Amino acid sequence: MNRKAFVLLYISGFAFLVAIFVFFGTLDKQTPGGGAVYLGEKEIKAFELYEKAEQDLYVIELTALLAGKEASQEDEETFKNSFETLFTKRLEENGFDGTGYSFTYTFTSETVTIIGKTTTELVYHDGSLTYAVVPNVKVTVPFEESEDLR
Amino acid sequence: MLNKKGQTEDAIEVCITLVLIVIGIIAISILHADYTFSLKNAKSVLFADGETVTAYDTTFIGLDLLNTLRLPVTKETTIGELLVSLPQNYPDIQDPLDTGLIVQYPNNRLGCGDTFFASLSAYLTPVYGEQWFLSVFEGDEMIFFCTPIVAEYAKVRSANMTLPSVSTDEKTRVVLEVYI
Repeated sequence: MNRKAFVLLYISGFAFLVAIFVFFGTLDKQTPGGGAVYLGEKEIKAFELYEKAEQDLYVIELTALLAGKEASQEDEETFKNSFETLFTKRLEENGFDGTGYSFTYTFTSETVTIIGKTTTELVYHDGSLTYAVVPNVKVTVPFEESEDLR
Repeated sequence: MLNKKGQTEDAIEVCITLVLIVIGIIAISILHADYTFSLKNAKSVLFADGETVTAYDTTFIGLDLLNTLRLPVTKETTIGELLVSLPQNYPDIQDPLDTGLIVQYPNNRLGCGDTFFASLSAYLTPVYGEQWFLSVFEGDEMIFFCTPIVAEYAKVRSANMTLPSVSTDEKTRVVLEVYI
């Protein structure tokens, strides 16, 4: 081979190597959600975020249920105040923000249904994944309603 | 025999070949290391302890724990509600609700009665065989456990949740473990 042909061969070979490294080096960025070490890795991480959110929603729901049951043992006229105080206090003890809730109470002859709504989202992050959920609650607890409240 | 120019070109080609061989060896080594790393990660997901193939999929054990807590144990009570009431009933069972659901062992530790065990087993045994172990901790102290395990196994995976306590300052921690 003559010298010109060698020069072309060197350039082609070098360009080929650079192209390989550029392609595989940026493969993670080209993949939606980033690269995965093994098949299903991203899906499992997404599911783990969902699992964590569901566990937190359960803790909030259980807190409301326990607060409702405890408040229903007190005087009927103070039920709402008692429930809201207990709910907020216990949520904060468990690391959640309990201040943004507004409640609706529906009394029947034997139960009270409490619906709590909030605008504060619970947001979960894992790498490039983000999952947000609004922790509204709805619980029904036994309650003996007095004649005054009907 | 090649002339001087020809010999020089041969030397260059040999050098280039050696360099390319070295680059090739490095590239193959990197690919091999990446393959080993990926395989190890995949095994850690598929095999609970990284090595052993288990008969049960424990990937989503946290969700199974959550669903267990939502199960009804009586007409008006779920397993989660019952478990958070345990610190109130330890070491002395006081709540009449727990009669028949909770038993107490000679060391004061609480366990599950037949009705409670049947509720747990109906849900967990089809998923994890007779290799699950459910326990409740108040602080660092285990106050309750329930399991069908009769022999000693090696723990492979666990999930835990911290629940609001009914009256104590200590947090109630529920742990679900699977053994092989």
